[in-house]
Amino acid sequence: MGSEFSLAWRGATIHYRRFGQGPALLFLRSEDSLPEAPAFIDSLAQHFEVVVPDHPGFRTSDTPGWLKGIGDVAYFYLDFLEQLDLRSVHLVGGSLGGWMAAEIAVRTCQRIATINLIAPFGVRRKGTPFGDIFMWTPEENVQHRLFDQALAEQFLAAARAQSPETATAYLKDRYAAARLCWHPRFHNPELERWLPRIVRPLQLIWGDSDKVVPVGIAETWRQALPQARLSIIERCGHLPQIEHPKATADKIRSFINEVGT
Amino acid sequence: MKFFAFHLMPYRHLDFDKADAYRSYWVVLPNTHYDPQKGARLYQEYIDQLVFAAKAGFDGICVNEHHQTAYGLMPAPNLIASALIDRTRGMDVKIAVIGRALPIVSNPLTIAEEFAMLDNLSDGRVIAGFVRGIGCEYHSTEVNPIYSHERFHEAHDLIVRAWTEPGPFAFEGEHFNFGYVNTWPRCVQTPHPPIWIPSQGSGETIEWAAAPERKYPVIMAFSPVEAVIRFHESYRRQAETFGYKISGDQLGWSTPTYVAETDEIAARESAEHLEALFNNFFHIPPELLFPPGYTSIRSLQAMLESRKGLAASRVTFNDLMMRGNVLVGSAATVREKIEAIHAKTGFRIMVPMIQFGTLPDDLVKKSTQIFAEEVAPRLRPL
Repeated sequence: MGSEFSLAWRGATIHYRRFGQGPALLFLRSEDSLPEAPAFIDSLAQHFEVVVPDHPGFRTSDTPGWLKGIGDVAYFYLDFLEQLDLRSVHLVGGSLGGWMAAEIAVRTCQRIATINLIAPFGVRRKGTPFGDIFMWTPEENVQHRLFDQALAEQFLAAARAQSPETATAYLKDRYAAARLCWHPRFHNPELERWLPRIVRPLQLIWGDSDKVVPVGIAETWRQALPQARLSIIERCGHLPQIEHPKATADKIRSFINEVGT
Repeated sequence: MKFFAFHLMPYRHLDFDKADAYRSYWVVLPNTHYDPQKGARLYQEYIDQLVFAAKAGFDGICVNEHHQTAYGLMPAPNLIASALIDRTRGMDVKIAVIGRALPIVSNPLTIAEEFAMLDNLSDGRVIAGFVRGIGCEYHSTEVNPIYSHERFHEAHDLIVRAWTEPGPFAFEGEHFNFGYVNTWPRCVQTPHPPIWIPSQGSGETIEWAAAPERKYPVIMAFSPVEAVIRFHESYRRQAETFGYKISGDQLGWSTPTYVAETDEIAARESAEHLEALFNNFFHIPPELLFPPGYTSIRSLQAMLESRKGLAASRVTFNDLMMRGNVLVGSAATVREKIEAIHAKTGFRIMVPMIQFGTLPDDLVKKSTQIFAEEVAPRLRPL
């Protein structure tokens, strides 16, 4: 379960949890409302102190008036790292969380040691469109995120039994995602221009069957960051941390061990 | 009471069997299902129908705006308004655009300019409706629905200032910024064309429209009759809260309307076309109709709740009649129904949608004629 904390900052209360012990690892989660990736976080927590915030606007955190775009999230997390005095942080982000991680890192890598992005939003590749999560039904939003449709059905069965609080949480996450992602859709045109400012080791982890952020988009990242490593996970959709939690955590840990800190 | 004939201009030649294969008749229905040869003739037919209504005695004729859909072929309604102005030159007939969708443009000054031009072209016969557009519009324009309300209010303020304040002046907003606001031409009507607010009934809209500095007529559209009455009632209470007594000229009701020789004939002739409107043209899943931010989360949950079961089955003509979503019958029946609502709310703007769904030209004209001759005249004193 981890331990619960909150940070009151610039008029908003932001909730986060800490798991395990070791070097600091900040996990910026994706925008979907699927349950946490417990197996993934547990695997990482055996080697790191994993910090998992509910992003401003999402889940249990407040929606502050200053939350207008992805840049506001990036500056918030730079403050967050300072407030918690996290140093040499291993930054991990999935989907929208991956986009946030990149926006933080182009501003400054001062407190960052390594970066792992899992199927991140943030940059586009013309001719390789993102999936339209805002057009999809709640069912499609689960089905199209996963390669394993039996697993998708498990999540859907759980969702059918959900409480109204969870339904509200689903809508809250969706509203927050729209605030950040609606237009330009899932990317920031400036980000691609400044990606070379990321001066820390970076690994991209991608499912080979991603319908939300097709793996072809990795090419845009690689052109801007030729040193970045691309690790493909087979038979996997948009959420490797949920479909292949151990393999994904292992890739992150071995990358961190390899590049040193 | 005043009478305004309203038209959506749907693509009524659509092959429903093919169109039903898509997620919606909006945004994602491929435009290859539009035949320009048939469509070009439809524009003429529909414009003729509105001019027919004007000549038959309606006080005004109305068009509106929707995008990327077979539901309505007027992505640029002011173009149609311009044609209508010319076709009704010299007549004492209002041309109402209900409405232009303000939040989905990047430059609302073009809307101020267009209406100012229409006001000059018509010598002061234009009514300017302002709307947010329905949820689908935020998919087709990719304007962020989270800012729909903010952009609507800001664009409204900008347009009214552009119409009324001597230019040039600077406008400094959150969403819109202009160093030079200086609208040429100026409006003929003073201080500016009347502003109407078509609505589906949200509380926020009532509160905003009813404010003493606005007192905008609100046209309740596409709703069961009970909801229309409730809405008019809320507007009246809101006006009282603001410390003034409402006028019936602030309350409107828009509904698909069909009048024939008898109730039975009216039902027989209109049923399938009304069902086409509600089941086909208005086939919109919640993700398209209510994108995030278009409404508050609480309103969205209430609407999803009220729609439960609706999506699964088609509504029938009888359902629509029972709920009072439509106004169908003999002249006497239709008169009585309008009188009954007027008795409850005092509304004085009646906006019959004279064509709906697949309703063909001959029936549109027949119904419009009967309405103009046998319904409207006796209700005018109300």
